[in-house]
Amino acid sequence: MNLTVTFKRSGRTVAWTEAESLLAFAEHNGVDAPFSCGAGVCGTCAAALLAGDVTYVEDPLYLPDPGVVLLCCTTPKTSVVLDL
Amino acid sequence: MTRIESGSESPAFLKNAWYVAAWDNEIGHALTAVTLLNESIVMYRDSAGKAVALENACPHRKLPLSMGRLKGDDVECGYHGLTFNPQGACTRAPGGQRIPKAACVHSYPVEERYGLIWIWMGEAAKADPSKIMNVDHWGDPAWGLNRGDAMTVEANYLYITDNLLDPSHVAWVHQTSFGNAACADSVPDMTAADNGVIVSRWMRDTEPAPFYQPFLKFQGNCDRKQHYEVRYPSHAIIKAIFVPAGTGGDDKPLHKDVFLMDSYNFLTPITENLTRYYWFQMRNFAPNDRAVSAAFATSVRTAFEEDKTILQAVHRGMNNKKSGNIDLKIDKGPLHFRKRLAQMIAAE
Ligand code: FES
Ligand code: FES
Ligand SMILES: [Fe+2]
Repeated sequence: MNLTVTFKRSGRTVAWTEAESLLAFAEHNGVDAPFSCGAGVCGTCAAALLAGDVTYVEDPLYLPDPGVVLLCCTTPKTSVVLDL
Repeated sequence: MTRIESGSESPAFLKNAWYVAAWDNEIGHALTAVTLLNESIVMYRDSAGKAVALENACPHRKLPLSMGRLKGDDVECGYHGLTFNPQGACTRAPGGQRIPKAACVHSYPVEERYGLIWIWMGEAAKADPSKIMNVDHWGDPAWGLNRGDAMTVEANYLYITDNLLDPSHVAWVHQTSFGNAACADSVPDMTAADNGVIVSRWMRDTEPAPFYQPFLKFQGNCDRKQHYEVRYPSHAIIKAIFVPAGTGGDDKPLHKDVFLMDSYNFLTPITENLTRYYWFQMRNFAPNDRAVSAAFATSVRTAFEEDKTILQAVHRGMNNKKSGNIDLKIDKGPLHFRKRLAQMIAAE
């Protein structure tokens, strides 16, 4: 299955290639995403998920509000559109 | 998302829990006032030597009972003579009047174990002495004990639980004692259990840290495990394991020359800003060697003073923030602990 990740604000759509998280993937693609702990602890990497679904690969300390995902703990389950 | 910030203090303390009130030799047949969890308590031993802990406020005009006198096993208020027995019931009222029903003070359940006096701060009916933390190898003739000490730290107790779930700090705070280079960068695992949080890691083929070096039975490099565990509400077991390099691992039996040291750390909040910190260590060698115990006692005290300096300054810094603070990956264990404890407190 070929998944894509769309960074809405940056106006880019990129084919998903294996990365440890959406945060790492955004970084590899030169998209600036804020973070602090990189481990689901601080909530700094929270971003709105405009379409699609994600998988949590690491259990965060707090689940974000509906419609928001923690980029450092997730990978795409379907193609996703992020407000980033 | 609702978050508990590392800077915000917990709304209260967990009441239904055992805390350490004192070392056993700190309480005798004399009235001694202590503050635990913001409650003023008067402690003494009755004529049979049993420790007693009563609410330290006479129900008449709230004079601290610690300002009164011991009369046999009872406490007589120093103002008008209302007298209370170890169960907190009034046994005598002034002026020959009948004893009012409301003339009683709370009597806290107390237990002695491991040389410490434990106190139950919640509903007396829920006090279960079997819930006092178990100390492995206590009384085992092959294990040595250094009875340890206590200190008062001007910091909220949760900054200390943070520290006791953070094996990374030894690389910076205890450079000359517990730390070695490997402490700085290897990533620990966190395990959330029902009764607490464990953060642990094996560090492979490293030079033993200076504090431990003289006590190791083997030469050369070691595999070292740091096991940092804090149980709710605020009691820690810090285990240090050293084995010859190449022989360590959770899936392997311990090498015959293994060095084991279990450090028990019991925190009792005095107030939100002040904590009493009790400790002792158990070791799997030199059981009766006083010199070894003394060496440990001194080194541990020195290291804990290093923590104290840092934690008091952290408490002041966090209470006086001029800009935001951030959380790092190493905060996962500490923040999980804070979150769960806050839930337990809210559920009381
Ligand atoms: S960067 Fe801290 S939760 Fe993602
Ligand atoms: S690195 Fe933790 S307080 Fe500065
Ligand atoms: Fe320390």
